[in-house]
Amino acid sequence: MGSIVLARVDSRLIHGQVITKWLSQVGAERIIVINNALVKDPFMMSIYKMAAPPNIKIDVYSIDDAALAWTKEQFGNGKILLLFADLKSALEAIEKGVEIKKLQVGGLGGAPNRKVIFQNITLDSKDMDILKALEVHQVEVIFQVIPEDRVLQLKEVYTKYNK
Amino acid sequence: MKLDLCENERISNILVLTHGNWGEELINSAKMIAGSFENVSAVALNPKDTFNDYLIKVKEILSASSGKTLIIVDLFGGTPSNIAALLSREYDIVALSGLSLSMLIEAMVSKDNINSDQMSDVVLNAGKDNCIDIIKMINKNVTK
Repeated sequence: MGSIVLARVDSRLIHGQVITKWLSQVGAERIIVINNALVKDPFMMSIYKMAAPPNIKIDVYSIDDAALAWTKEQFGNGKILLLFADLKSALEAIEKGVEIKKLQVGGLGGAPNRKVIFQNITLDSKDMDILKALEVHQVEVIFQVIPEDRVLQLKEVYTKYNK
Repeated sequence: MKLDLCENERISNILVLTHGNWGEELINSAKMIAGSFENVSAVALNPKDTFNDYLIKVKEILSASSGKTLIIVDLFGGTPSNIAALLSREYDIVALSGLSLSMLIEAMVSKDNINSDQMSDVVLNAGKDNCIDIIKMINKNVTK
């Protein structure tokens, strides 16, 4: 069975911060992207596969297929870096059975109605509801863009959001 | 020497895509060495940009320019590189990674003289050839 060494929410999925920092930081051998839109876009999928270092195996699953692959054999083998593009997909995967104990939020991108928490981490009221749901599922949610950043805990993020 | 090149073989624009603002500054540096050039621009990926935010910004530039564009990105596999790959489906582009001052200068000065296939090789080589261990090279030349 595989082991999840990092589960991260990052709107840019496989990109600079992930390939230059996080892969080696957590010693991952594989990346699994769980994204319902990406599985339907073979060209974009091949771009992300090309973006990763050659020794890293990439799989892209829909949320349903990820839940199935997890329940069946915990994604197979190796040390896995799990990527979601948004909090909603992460919550849905967890609700469908993917066991994630710790979830790192690393980038959620900006939009006019979103409040900036830290660098490229922004939240809106829907995200706040999802964060509370993740708490109910006893997922430890932390906020960190790159390894050098101080880890922001959920409590601090609530305070910043409500300020 | 200027060769007669068909418009569709030639690179008409150069676009620099970087993490942060250094693409803009690199263009200034290149102009400092090689003089003024037209149709050279940069789009910075800012920390707050999502993939789509950045995609829209790059598309705006490409849609406003005519002819073939040479895109040079800073890091292979980064968001600028992924976006260049994605846009190759929609736009007439050549995309290279490993951006450096030597590559940008080479692209600027060669733009009007060679076709896009040659351009790719010439610019990549300019980048590779400029990576040198200076002290080792000096020592090798001194002991000769």
